[in-house]
Amino acid sequence: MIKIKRKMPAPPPVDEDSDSDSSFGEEETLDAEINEEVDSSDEEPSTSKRKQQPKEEDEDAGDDEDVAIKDEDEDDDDDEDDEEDDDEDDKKARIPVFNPLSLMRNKEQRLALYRKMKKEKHKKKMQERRARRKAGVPANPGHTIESLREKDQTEVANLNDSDNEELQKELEIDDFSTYFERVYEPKVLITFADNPVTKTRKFGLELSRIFPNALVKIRNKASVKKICKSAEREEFTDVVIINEDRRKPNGLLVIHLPNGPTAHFKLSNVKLTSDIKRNHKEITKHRPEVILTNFTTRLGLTVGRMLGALFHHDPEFKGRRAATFHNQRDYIFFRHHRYEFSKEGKRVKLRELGPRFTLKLRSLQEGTFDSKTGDYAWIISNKRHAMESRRRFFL
Amino acid sequence: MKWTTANLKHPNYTAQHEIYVGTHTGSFKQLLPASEKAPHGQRNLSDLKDLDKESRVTALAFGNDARTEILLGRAKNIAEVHSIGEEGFSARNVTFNSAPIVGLARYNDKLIAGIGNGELQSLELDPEEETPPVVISTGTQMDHLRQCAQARNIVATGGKERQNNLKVYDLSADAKQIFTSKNLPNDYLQLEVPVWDSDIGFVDGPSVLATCSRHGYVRLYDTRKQRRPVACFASEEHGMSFATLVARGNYIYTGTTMGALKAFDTRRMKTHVHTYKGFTGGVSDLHLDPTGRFLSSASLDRYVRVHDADSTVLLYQCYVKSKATKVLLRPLKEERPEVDDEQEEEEDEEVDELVPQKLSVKTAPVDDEYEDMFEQMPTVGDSEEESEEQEEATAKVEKAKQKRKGPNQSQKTKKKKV
Repeated sequence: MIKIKRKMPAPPPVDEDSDSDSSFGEEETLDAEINEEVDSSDEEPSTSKRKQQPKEEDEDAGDDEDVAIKDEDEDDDDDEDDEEDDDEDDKKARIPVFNPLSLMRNKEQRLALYRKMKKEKHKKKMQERRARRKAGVPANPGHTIESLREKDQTEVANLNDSDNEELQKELEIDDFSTYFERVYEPKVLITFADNPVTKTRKFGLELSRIFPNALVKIRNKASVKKICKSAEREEFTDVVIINEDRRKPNGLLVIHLPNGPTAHFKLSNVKLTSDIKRNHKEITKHRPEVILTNFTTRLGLTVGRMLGALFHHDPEFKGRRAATFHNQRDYIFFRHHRYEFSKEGKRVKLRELGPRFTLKLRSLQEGTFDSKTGDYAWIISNKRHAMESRRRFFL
Repeated sequence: MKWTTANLKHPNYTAQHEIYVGTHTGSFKQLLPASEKAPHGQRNLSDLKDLDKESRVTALAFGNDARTEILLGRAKNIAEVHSIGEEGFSARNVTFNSAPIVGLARYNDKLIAGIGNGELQSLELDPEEETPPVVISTGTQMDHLRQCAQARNIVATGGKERQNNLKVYDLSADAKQIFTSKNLPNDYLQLEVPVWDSDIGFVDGPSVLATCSRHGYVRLYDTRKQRRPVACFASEEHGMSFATLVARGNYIYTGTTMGALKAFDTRRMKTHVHTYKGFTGGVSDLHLDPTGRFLSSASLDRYVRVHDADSTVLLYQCYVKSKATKVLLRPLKEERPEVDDEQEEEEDEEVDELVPQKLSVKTAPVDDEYEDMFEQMPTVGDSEEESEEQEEATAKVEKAKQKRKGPNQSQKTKKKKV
């Protein structure tokens, strides 16, 4: 807008500007200095003054000095712009604007003016925010990777849509339907890769404190298929296998029994309770609440249901424990908290209990574990580069 | 084309097709990619309300040559016969003794089902009185049963383990077993090569068959030559676990459980010749249209796709809400007569030469004018008068050339039909 305004009275300043152009940057700087030192803005270039007049009138109510500073600021901009227009008719290219205050040589004055300018800016921002809040307009979310996310065809916005009749039917008859009908209580077997290091074992133990009704066993070199078979016989409903590499847990295999699915996650950033300086004695035996957030797509829904089905369906609210699986950009963050309400019941205090870790889905396979011949419902390996994009998320 | 989750339709995909999809939840859908307005619209042909855990669609096939009847088998012991008529769809249920139904075929008035436990059951469609199905045992397990499109009395079965390998049955002779395949010789350690014929395809006729395996091989059999495969592809690569196959002409198209769709050339089976892209889940079923140009695929990532078989371009992609397990591509009515003619021609050729020809090779187009020229030519040795008469006739003919085009063509067609 301002730019357009400036274009109109272009001819007069051409002379001055062309002068400054020919005589390098020094003269220009001098000009600027003069302008700034003389607060009343009497000696400004005629053109800029003309343009600025209406504005000055508007803002007369405010501090004189401030107005002057602003004017100068804008004047300088004008000059630059005009120069550009003369040099090349490209209207879009703009030379970066630098603060004219930085050309001032008197440090004290410069700092004072700078502070004032800052204050004014802040004031303006706050005024805008107040106005926005009064009007009840939500804040601009801005450009984040999430807000620019590629639209996913499979997104499940509202389960109760008439459009989602088939989805509801599928949820009624899929592998987790019996869990959500509360037919059985989940019973989880946690085991490891062969010869786990201490950290992995400790991680397994901590997982067993999170999942109610979980049992940790050393694998004893059994194959996953055999483990699944015997776990089914012992009436386990899920098997969790922690893989490790370079003495760190790096993979999590979650198998739902008796007939799948099987999910393979990459496991990273494992922080044990002791790593975040907590004591496992803080963790009570109460069954935790499970919070699954941000699983939006059809695949995300399945994964969310799968993770949720590891926990008992009735949390014991007395224990005030919450286990959270938060999905953000396909990374599933796990956190474990104990919460406490303040006396008025308005605010809540959170205390993290640990462990914390991050999961990323690698593949989802139909049926129990059969990596060679099993049918994959979703797999990313060997076509990661074709599928992945900064703005595309699968969960 | 860049990978995307959106519903797609390539601007060059103008062929008049409709797609039938069977899903993991049990719904049976019709997609109309040909429609201008809603190329991704779907219509459920079965009632969603009475689906249960066992109603997964496990078999889908055309019941007749005109493609007006669709046979649908479920993971329970119920098969459905859908007929597509002028007035709409009609469906009827047929109940077999066991489940799941892994393949369906129709021969005359009988409905033949391949059952997962290795049985072949056949039922009269319109019996005077209720009779139990005739049961023939083929082995202990079955993965697929396919009917030959050219000779509808021939079916082939395949499954896991050696005793359930590829077998071919003739339905016209009381389901007599006419071919059973033989495994490859033992490997260098004298160990048996594992067998799992997860899907079978007839290559243009009842005698040449292709199988694929979840153990990672694709084999081509010729029942006239030998019991062992005549061509074989075996991969050492991890992840080449073939779940489904369709074959036509010189090409075999197979899909893997990890979502790769590859084409093999039967003349040189060392490596694949094409890769079709766009899958994020395993390919569960493939189907080719009668011209062999459009390759439709169902995938467990809940999409149905159509690729151009030759150029591998993704022509169509549609989200079908549940995991697609079976797919059929059917040309719409406007195109069908043409297609039928082609098929007739092809069949004629086969009869003539007794060798199944590649469909890709087309007969040279008949040039009417060229043939006319020969017809009008005077025969050497004819009397002069006759030749003069003929010259006159030719002159007349030349005058009426433009008019003649129509009648001549009609003559041609008559000849063909004779």
